[in-house]
Amino acid sequence: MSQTKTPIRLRLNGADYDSDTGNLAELLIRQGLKLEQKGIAVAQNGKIVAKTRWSETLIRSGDELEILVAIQGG
Amino acid sequence: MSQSPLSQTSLKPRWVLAGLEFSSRLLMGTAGYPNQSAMLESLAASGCQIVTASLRRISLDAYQGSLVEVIGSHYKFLPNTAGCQTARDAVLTAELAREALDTNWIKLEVIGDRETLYPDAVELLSAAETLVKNGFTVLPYCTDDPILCRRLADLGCAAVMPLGSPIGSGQGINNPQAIERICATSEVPVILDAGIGTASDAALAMELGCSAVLLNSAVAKALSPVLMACAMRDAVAAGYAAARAGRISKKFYAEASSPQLGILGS
Repeated sequence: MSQTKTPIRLRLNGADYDSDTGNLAELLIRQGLKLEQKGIAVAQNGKIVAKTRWSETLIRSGDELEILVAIQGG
Repeated sequence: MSQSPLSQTSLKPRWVLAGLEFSSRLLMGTAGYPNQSAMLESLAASGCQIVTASLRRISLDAYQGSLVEVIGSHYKFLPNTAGCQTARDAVLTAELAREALDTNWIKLEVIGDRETLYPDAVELLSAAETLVKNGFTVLPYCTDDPILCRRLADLGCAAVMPLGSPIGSGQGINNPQAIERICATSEVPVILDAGIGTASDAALAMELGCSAVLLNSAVAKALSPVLMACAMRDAVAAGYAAARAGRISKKFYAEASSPQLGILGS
């Protein structure tokens, strides 16, 4: 019988989000992002998480994550 | 040996911004084009080397990819902090942009409200000070106020970018005397930003002494963006050449250009 993991309740881009992974890189992949992709940045609780640290960064219940992408602008 | 006038007037006059040399004095926005190919063709037609970008939350439902994938490495990115209303948000956005686009250049926008999109001078100065201290090359979008521009330059901003008129209004340059004054006294490059409606506005900015022009809507929303991009490219070059050539003084009355001696019937 498989165990059901309790999801991690986050604020992701300003909305409630239940994550079934506690690893930032895995979460990004689940959002359809490629880790080597340029033009993306992540902040965790108001602090930038450098790309080089995505795969080792843990996410916890109550975290506020922002995932931003470079788009057209004036 | 004296240079010929032609050799003095390079078609692509070079200039330096934050230690980097550019041949185009036109900076282009990337938003609001009818489609992606119109944007890419317009950027190419404009001859620009620097393009602006913004940072936004990704859509969790339908991620569309980043501007980097569309534009590639053909241009230098100048990310902006568009939409930010506090120094705190602008600083965080700048840090995210540095991470996303691998550049410490930032077009610093801190607006006072979403209706006028006018810069909030108090928040702008605060954000500029923090970002300069944190190693950013700060290019602030500001009002056409010579004192504010001086304060921004004193803080260490790499340029000042006064508005010609409200963002996206297409009104042109509403206070040319103020822009001229800023250009005459600024110790950093002055880039006219916002309000350009058509080619003559861009030419005027250069004639007033600006180092460059940054525009977006005037091209993106023109009936033919590519044709307008060509017009802006030529206008910026013409305005710059005219500024260096030195215009004649204005007179109250007519002054005949043809010789006055020997006119039939005189």
